[in-house]
Amino acid sequence: MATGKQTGQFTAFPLDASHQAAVVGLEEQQEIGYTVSPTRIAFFSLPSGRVVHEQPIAVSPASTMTAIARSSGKEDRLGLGTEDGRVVPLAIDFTSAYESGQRVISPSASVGSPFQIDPTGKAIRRLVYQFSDAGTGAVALTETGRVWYVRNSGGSPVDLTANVSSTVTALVLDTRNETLSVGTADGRLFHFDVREASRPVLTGTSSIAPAGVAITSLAYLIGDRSLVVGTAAGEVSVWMPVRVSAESDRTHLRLIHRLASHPAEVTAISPSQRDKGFLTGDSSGNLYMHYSTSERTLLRFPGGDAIQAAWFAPKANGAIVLDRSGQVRTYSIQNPHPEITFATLFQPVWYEGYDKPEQVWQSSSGGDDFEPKFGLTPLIFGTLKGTMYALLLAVPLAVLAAVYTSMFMHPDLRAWIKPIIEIMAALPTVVLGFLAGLWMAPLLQRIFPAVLVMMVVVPAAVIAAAVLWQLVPRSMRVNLHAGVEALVLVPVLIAAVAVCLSLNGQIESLLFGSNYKGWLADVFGVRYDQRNALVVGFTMGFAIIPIIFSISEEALSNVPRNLIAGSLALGATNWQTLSRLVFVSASPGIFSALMIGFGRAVGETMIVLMATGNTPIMDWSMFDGFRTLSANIAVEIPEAPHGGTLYRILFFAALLLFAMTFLLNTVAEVIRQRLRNKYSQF
Amino acid sequence: MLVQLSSMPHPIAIHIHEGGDVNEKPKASEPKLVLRDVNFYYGRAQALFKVNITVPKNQVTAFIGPSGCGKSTLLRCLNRLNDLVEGARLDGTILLDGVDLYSSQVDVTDLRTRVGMVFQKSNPFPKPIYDNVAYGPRLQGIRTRADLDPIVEESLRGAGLWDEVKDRLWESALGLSGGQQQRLCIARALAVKPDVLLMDEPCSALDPIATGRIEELLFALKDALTIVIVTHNMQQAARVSDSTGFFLMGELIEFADTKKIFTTPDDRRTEDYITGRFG
Ligand SMILES: Nc1ncnc2c1ncn2[C@@H]1O[C@H](COP(=O)(O)OP(=O)(O)OP(=O)(O)O)[C@@H](O)[C@H]1O
Ligand SMILES: [Mg+2]
Repeated sequence: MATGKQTGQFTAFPLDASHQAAVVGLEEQQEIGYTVSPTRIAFFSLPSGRVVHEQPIAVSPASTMTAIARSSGKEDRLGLGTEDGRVVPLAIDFTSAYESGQRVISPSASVGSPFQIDPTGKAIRRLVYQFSDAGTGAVALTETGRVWYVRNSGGSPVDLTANVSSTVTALVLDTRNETLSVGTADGRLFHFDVREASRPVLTGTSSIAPAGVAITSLAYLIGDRSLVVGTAAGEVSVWMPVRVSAESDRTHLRLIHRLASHPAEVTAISPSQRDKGFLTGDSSGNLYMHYSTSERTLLRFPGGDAIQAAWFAPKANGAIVLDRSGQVRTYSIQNPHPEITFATLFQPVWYEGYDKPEQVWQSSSGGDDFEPKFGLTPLIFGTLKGTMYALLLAVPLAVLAAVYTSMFMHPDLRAWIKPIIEIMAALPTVVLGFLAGLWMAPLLQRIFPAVLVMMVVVPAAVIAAAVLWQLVPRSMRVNLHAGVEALVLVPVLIAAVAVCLSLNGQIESLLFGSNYKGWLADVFGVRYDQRNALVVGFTMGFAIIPIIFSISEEALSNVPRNLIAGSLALGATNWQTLSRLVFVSASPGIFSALMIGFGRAVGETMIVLMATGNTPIMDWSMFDGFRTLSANIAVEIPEAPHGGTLYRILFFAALLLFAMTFLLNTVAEVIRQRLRNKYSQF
Repeated sequence: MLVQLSSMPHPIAIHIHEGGDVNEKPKASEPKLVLRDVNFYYGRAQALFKVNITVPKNQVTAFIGPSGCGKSTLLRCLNRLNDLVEGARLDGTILLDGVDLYSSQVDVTDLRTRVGMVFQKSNPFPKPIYDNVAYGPRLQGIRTRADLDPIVEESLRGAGLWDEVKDRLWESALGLSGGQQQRLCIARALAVKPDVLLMDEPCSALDPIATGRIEELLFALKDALTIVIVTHNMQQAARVSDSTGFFLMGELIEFADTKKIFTTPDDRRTEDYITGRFG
């Protein structure tokens, strides 16, 4: 998916072997790059490498620069460490102006006033400089092996050396200046809480690399949660604070992703400023591009000389690299959808802030540093869950109604009932969804205990009524046509429902002890969402009843009369005829009906959109909501930028939906054909 | 002998002559079905008018008459299949072994196991051959293969179909030829061991050879059964039946020995009909 190529190579300056300190950077449009060396800053036009601007770096009182650090973040803010323990801020800015319709980008660099980081005035060997709104932090490792931390130019430096029990090989500050991590030669990481600048606290140590393997490079990915670690052995891994246990608030650093290893020591890491991608360079000059979420190494540019510094272009579409011999190489990178693989779509992924790999759909949020979570599994799950609840309601009702209508109902009554049920199908599902979400969901929440009891009471009342009807003397029944008995049920049904409803409160206190929601939470540990699977089951069930009913009824009615007569003539009762002959003969048709109902439920959008709450959670509980593939498309397409990753994923979701129904219908058709060959007359 | 109609709530004992003089033809005099003043209505339309017939036991009785004269209707009255027809009504009496078929004490399903029926259009169930034949016995609660196998074989042999299908018992009955299907329907009817077999134009869709086989079957079956057959084929009626009834417009015009009907009918209309002069 990702492609990239080298676009330029030129010599910036020969690096002095004694201070191999230098950084590179790129302006957003990738028209201008820069290198900063201990003595000067140079801007190049890219990709040619022609120098467009150059200025020396000087500080008073005069001192030699011995280390350079670039603040992570959007702005080009740098700090230089001096031989006498000072930090010199350096700000680089690009202003673009339009001259006769042509965009002209002009760079400028300004040196700020230096501040002391090592009160003892030792030369700085390694520097971290982090510019943020809350203040600028700096950490320095001096030639004597001491580690100093200071916040803001005026603050007093703090010596952290005593806390670190090994040779320091890497340093990193997060962009908010809250956490300082120190990597050592023995593969350990020391974390300091530096929120209170004057009193940094060692909060923990983690063993990151096998003993003896030095941590050579550290960088936070955008968002400051994932820490990328490069080692002397070339390993690249992403670590994240994870809660020690589900109950605990304490976190510890855990390995969450391991990327492709370099053949040599990792010397530079540059995170992308727009996503969870990052570049790593090694001492053999290889440049890799990785993506943290999908745990993939997307590009590998072959090496040359040891990489001194690497920089990911602000738009993550290019890179610039400086090697130890002073060669600058530039790359262009096309990687529009880095986070998407089949694994990230369908398998659990360990996202930032999660305790374990999970399947999550969360396409967007407020922040820039958000890690999009494009797990489609919760949506597929939601689709199947909604369908299942709908079928659970619709199939028994529709099929039994079809059986009754075709086999037992008086033809006059049938002539009425069939069109009425078919009209149900003409009800726009948006109306059903509206009613479900705004009327039924709150109602159901109120009368849930009554509804629960109804599910038992209503069938019981029907059976009781049927038994009583049998006991009514035949003489009293004659003036009712056969098949009109069903009408007798109507008052019975109304009475049963009314009784349940009127006793709602009593039922609730009797069964659940005052509050059914509390009871559900206590006994089953489930939460009652107002817009839940039950509401959808009822509504979507209602929506697919007509189609299942019509097709089943058709199939049952099409069973040849002479077969039924043949069965009856052998002494079968109506019921035996139905169960042993009619049902079997109509099975292909009934099966079709179920499959068409299934297909309708899978693709149904408006009802689930309005009645589910659209929470993409994976839980079979009937009291929870869910989000279906179809509803997801409807919800998110207005927010999806044309051609973007989300946009494409939504199309993919639609394709998936199509594939599901297609597969289902194909399988259904094959089964139906087989049934038909087996049971059908013709 | 005292025969008890086991299925009846109030068993009725009837005396049946047995054996006796070898030269006598006792069967001829034994009534199996007796119809007295049977009127039948489809809603307001009357289909049968005051029909009086006595069907003798262990004989083949044929009903003939032009289309629409009520032969099938009468046949369906004999196993109460007309009960299914909305608005149908019967008055008069039909006695089977002396018991009124339409009395409230009679269990219809039980009656239908005793009065089997073969339809004009063969109607095998969309099931394997075996299951078709076993359908009736299974309804009566016979479940095991050990019990069903002999019944199936015996019934198929009885219908003269065994040799043709014994190797394909588990194939769909719909794969059989028309004649085979009709014999399967006969086998299916025989499997419930009825006393009476009603056959509504069983050969109307069959070629002469298949027809011939079914006619042979009737001869073989009448030792054990009383057969009532409706046919449009005069030769067939003459060949297979012992007595014949001629219907016209829902009325029984004449009922007598087949020989008599076909040689010296009493009624002019009968003669016209059997000689083909009927308009
Ligand atoms: N289910 C029914 N409802 C109303 N009228 C019927 C019904 N079945 C038959 N009839 C009418 O009753 C009369 C007798 O029909 P029936 O089927 O008994 O004639 P049939 O003698 O068997 O004729 P065919 O030789 O053509 O089979 C006909 O006029 C017919 O239209
Ligand atoms: Mg007929």
